[in-house]
Amino acid sequence: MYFNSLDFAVFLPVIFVLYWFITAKHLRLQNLLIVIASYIFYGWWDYRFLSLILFSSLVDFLVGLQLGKQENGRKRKWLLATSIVVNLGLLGFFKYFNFFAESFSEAFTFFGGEIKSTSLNIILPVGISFYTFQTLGYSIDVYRRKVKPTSDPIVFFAFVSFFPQLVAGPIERASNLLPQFYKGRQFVYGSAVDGLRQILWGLFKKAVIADNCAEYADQIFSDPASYSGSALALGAFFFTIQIYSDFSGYSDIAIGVSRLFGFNLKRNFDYPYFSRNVAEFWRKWHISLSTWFRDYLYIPMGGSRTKVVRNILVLFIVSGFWHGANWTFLLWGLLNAICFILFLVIRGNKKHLEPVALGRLFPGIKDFGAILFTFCLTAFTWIFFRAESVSDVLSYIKGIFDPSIFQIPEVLSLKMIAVFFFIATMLITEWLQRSREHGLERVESALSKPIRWGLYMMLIYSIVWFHGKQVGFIYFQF
Amino acid sequence: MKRFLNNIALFVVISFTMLELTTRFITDPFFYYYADSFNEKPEDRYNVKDHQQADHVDYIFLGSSRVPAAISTKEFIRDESGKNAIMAGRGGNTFGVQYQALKHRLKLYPDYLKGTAVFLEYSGTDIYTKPFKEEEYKVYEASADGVNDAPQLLMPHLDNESFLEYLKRSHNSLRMRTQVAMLYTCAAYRSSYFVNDVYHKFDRPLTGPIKKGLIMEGGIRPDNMQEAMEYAKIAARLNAERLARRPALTEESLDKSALKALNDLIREHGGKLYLFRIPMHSIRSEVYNEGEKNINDNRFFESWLAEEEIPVLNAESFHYQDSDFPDIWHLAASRRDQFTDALHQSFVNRAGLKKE
Repeated sequence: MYFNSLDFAVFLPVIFVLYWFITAKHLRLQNLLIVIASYIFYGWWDYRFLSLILFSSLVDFLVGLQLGKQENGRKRKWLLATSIVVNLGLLGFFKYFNFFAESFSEAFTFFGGEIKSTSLNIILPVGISFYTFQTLGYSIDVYRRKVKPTSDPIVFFAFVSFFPQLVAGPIERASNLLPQFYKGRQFVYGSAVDGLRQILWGLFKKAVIADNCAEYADQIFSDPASYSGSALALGAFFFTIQIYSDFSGYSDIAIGVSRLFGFNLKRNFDYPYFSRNVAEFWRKWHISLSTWFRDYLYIPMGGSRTKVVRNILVLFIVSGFWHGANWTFLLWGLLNAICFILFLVIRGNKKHLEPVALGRLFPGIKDFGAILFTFCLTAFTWIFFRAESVSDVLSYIKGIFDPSIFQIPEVLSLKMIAVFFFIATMLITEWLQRSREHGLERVESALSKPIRWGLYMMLIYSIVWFHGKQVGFIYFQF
Repeated sequence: MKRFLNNIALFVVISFTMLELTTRFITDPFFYYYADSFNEKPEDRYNVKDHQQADHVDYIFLGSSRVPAAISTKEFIRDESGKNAIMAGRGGNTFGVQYQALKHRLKLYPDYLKGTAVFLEYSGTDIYTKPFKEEEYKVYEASADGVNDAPQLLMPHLDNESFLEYLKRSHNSLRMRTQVAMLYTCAAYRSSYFVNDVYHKFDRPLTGPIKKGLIMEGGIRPDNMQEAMEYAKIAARLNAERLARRPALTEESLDKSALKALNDLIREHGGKLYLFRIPMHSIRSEVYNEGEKNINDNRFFESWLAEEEIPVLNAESFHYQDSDFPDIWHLAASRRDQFTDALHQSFVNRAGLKKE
């Protein structure tokens, strides 16, 4: 079920009413409703894959229970290994089997041998990378004794399958989300209204910005040889905006929906395109995944204490590979690692921990230059992420660095000018709100009710009238 | 909670009312003309307005998007001063839309079809041979996801009475009937189709040539022939399976068919129905001529047409090959005038023969 579908528009109010009016007085019943609703939400795509979530949840629930009881260090390690093997095994089979089989066969052929590659017709279950990481995180935290294992299966199943964040995050930590299932939920008017505002802002970013940008990005990336350098640069720009609006839009909706049900999810984006360097960008982009890798991979490897360059390389390459089984993702990770390491060597990565131009309306020239440079660098790396193959990446980049980059892009149209206007609206709004959680947070205190409602209406009308043609969210494929 | 629900209800009522009022004033007539299947060119709303007000028409062309691709109405009446012709063929058309359109016109202008030649594309024996009862109020319903549904085509031809009839008698799914009801009663809903359609049409590049590969002839991009060919093969296979499953045509089934009802309506109001063979790519046309069942059905259908005095026009002087179909579905625009002239010649010959 997509957040931007009619199905969800019916599903959400029904669950909301059942949650607050029928099950409100019974916490266990409320949690059970969340499990049922989440399984319906997920099963809407393909009910067969519910068995995977069920299996993954069951394994980690049992592993968690045993880890809680077991004091023998060796046995605890075996239990943790079971969780890791099961979760990464599922992920590996569904996501990476064909990639490894084909790559192995190609490598064998390259060295003069001959081997028939076996590829299976495997469908990638939606959101598998997200929920396996969430359950795996729970097992590791229990192993490290940072979190007490839960003995309530309903709570645990609700934690793994919580529908707002099930298929594309934010990847929640047990320490944040699990305790919320034990506390009685109170309906808080201000939080629910702000949740609705966040949903509206997320929908606007997805339907109006991301889906419109997607049309141009898809058109240009599908046939780069036919376009001038300027059109190719524009294609990279549109994808840069698309991927942010699509994914952060999803996160906004997920967080907003959770707030309607009395839950607080972690922030996943902190206006990353206003970053002044690569390190700041990675602190603000897909925060829940970055911190997951930091805590469960980077720090255990030694973090910044020892072999920092190796650790960063591994971190980014694994992160790239997490996105998909393609060499382009690996290269994207590698390129980001190189940028990060270069920046680390030259400047240090602890700069710019505070929001840009704090307390001022406009950034200084130096900050502005740094933001622009970081944006262009990020847009360049997204070419690796978006292209279908490594050869496509090379021809795309070659096409950009052509004298035709100085001509007016041949794809410029009136509709594209309207899309630029929408993008500018988003960027200006988010700039003004950059110290807040989401793009519409401050309107409550800054605008009177009639103006505020007028603004909401304009956003709704924009979604209804100017939505693009694409439907799916990019990150569902990961 | 009470405050929350009250505020939401108030917000929904205010925003919906404002949108409904605004769109009723701004977009309604615009939308109706735009969606009118009796228009010459979908984007030429002023011409359409003229047609809306025409109380009589000399020639009408009915059928799918293949019809406007193959026929130019201007070319058809080139040597016939004072006559008018309307192109009502378009993508997403159904028998139901075209039948209701004619009924609606006849209600407004009883002499609308007096002496009119109505041309319907003849691709094969499935041209409106399903039962009239099933087809009378049916709009195009593509698939469960509704991506290519075309309920809006019926809108200009409904009034309150026929709208209620649609709800009662249509064989469309509940989802589609709900959508038609929303479109008919709610301008805010209609406007979402209209504004979004117009918005996406402003995609013509401002500078430089239009990328040839992106110009669509009928809905399939001709720059991807492989995809078009696969699509055509799938469509042909599905059509062949449908024809194979269909019981053999009988006099009884054809007498209850939508085509019979269309012919009766036209004849009753002084017009004449002609079928004309539409040029088709071999992948499409072979479906109708393969196998004993199809051959028998073809023979039976044409003898029934003769009994019903529905002439079949064959533009014999027009020769074509598979390469004349850039997307394997529609005739190339460069051959439209030639086919139109050949069809016109065939019509004149046929009409002349009748006179003698």
